[in-house]
Amino acid sequence: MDAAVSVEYLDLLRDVLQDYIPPRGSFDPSGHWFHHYSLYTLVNARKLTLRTRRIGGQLSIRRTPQAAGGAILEVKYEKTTQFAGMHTLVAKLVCAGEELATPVKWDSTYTMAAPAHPLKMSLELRETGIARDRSIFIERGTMQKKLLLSSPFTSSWSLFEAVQRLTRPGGPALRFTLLDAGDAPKPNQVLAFYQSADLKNRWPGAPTLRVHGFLQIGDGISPQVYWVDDRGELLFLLSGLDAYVLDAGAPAAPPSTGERS
Amino acid sequence: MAEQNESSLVPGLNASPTRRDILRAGAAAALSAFTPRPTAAGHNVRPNFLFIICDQLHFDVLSAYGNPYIRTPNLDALVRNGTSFHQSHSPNPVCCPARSCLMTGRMASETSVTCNGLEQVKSLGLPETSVRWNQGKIISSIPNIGQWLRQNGYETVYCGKWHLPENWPPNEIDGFTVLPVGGGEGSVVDPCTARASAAYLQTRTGGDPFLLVSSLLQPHDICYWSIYNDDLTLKELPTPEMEGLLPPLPPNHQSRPPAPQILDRSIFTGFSDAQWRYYLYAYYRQVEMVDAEVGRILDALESSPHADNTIVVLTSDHGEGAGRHLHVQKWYPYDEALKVPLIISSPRRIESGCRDYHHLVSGVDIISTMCDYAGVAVPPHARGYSLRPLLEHKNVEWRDFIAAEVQVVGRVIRTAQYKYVRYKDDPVEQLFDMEADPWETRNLYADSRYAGVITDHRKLLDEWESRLIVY
Repeated sequence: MDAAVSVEYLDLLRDVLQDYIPPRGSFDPSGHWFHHYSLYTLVNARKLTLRTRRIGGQLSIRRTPQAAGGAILEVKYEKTTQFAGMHTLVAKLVCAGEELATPVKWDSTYTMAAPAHPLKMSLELRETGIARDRSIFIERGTMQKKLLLSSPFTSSWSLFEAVQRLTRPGGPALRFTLLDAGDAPKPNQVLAFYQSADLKNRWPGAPTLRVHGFLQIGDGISPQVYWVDDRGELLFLLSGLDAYVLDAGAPAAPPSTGERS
Repeated sequence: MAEQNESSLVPGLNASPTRRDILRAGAAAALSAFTPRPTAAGHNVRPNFLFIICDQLHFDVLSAYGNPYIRTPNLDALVRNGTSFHQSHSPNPVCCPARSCLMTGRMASETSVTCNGLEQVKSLGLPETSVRWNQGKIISSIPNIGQWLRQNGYETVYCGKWHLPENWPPNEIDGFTVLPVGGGEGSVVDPCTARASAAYLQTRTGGDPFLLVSSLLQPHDICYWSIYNDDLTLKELPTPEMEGLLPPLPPNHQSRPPAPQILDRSIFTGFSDAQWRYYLYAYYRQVEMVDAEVGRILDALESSPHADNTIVVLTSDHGEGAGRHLHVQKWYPYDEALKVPLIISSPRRIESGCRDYHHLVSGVDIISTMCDYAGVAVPPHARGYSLRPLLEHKNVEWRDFIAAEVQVVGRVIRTAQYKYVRYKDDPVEQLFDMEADPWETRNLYADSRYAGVITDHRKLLDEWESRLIVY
């Protein structure tokens, strides 16, 4: 349905999209791809963020399909800090081939910026997770936790992949528990087709681009919309808090590290 | 291995306690003193402190306290494992002043941090000369809790939002080593604060006891939905089906009892009813976001060598308007901004699952409590009481009232039954009967039957103010 678009969040991107060149060429959501997103925070939109293009961080995701089905996602999330260094989360997820790209095992390393006066502590925190049926075993540092979930689940990173393969419109709503950043269960998630929108003429200089939105609502998240283009490629993820924007001139994809044994 | 069943995380529909419950709880508390168990390392080991500060977390937003529109499994677990104070108040329901009080145990007019900035003073219609401005910093003669415990042998570490005056601390704060998480809003900074705190708790090897302040930003960012409401508040619900998910408006949504001028200027009229309800929905989701980060920090503590010997204190700088009295954000003497959660937990020192429904407590009590457990004298002129006797159910004489400051010139006296509000140079005062009118809809100040009550409360306020050492 082409409704009169009521998602003002798209319009908040007008500065960022002023010279935006949408990706071209073929795109296979189920194939190999590499995406690099800039992360903007929206809450100070008028004062700071988009006007000055202050970037809160960046996210890159590489998808490598597996012969037996499913895919490996390699994720790197970096958050800038004002005074020193970066906080970095590097993760690798082995995901099933179904519609939610449910992770079956994953590991991640979080590296924090160093304090000015060193403390006797590690600046790294490693995490592993394994899912069997509806049981999830997580180890982070010395922590071990078992989660028993009563519904299908997936991770926030997996959704960057899964949303590109959804049918629009008319596809069924997906209902699941979100495993936020690999360890925090947030149930009652619903992800469904929302609406399509043409950006052209929405503001002067807007790119010629038709996008299709999938709305996710649920516990523990600000309602957010994934916007994909006609080919299914995820261009923007917008909530009332922050925005991920696929870089038009994304850096060349680094070589895959392959599946870790 | 900790095991968590998702089905057990569904919020219960706990009814609010009846007056009988409250009396029963008080009587039970008086009858049975809690005897702390020795820690694994023995009786005399000084405890560590994990001080978690949320931003704009209203008292009523925990599912453990009966809010059916929200799901806060990690805060609920802390409630189950610790003692909750249901009459807990911010000493000043404004960001910077509140934080200065939490860090020092002094009132904001003493720390000099009475507002968030001079712009705010001007926006109130007050002259800049109404505040003695120290660039938003706590005056140097008043030690913060980091300085105080550090000089008493503690390793003191700060992680997250600071706002005294910088939102995000520079590389060093007096008295603290800073775990840098930089700045940012939205959902980007709290995960860093939680993971950096987790890394510290799980991997530190220092031998000294520690104080770790983990200061989380959310659910503060709901602020911007009213500041930039043209941009951030949807004109329509994303889907009609969401209507069924939205919380109802509070019963005092439209209530505007006679109030001092500054309060009357503070109402927010930018939302339709549906937008108000969507605002509440969004606020609750942001509370759930910070709940997840609290969970990460508590998981790390639980699996660390420090679990048995750490006292966890969780509170907020202030509450949130949440549509009550047409309010958003903070700034008010009403309970939506003034009341905050205060939960204290420690497996061997503090009884689990205990609710204190009747003792009046304040954020300035936290430092005194930490000092008591640390075996350290409180800093000079600290205004708070140690909560330790209450936590251990000791028979102790408690205060009859708590006081709070609001927006530079506002003052609050809260007694067991009444709340009295006075703004400097404003003829309109407020008196609410908090037992008969907990939603603060009927200002009794002009009712001659309460003249004596008002006189008594004025006297309490005057005497209390006279004891402050104002900057």
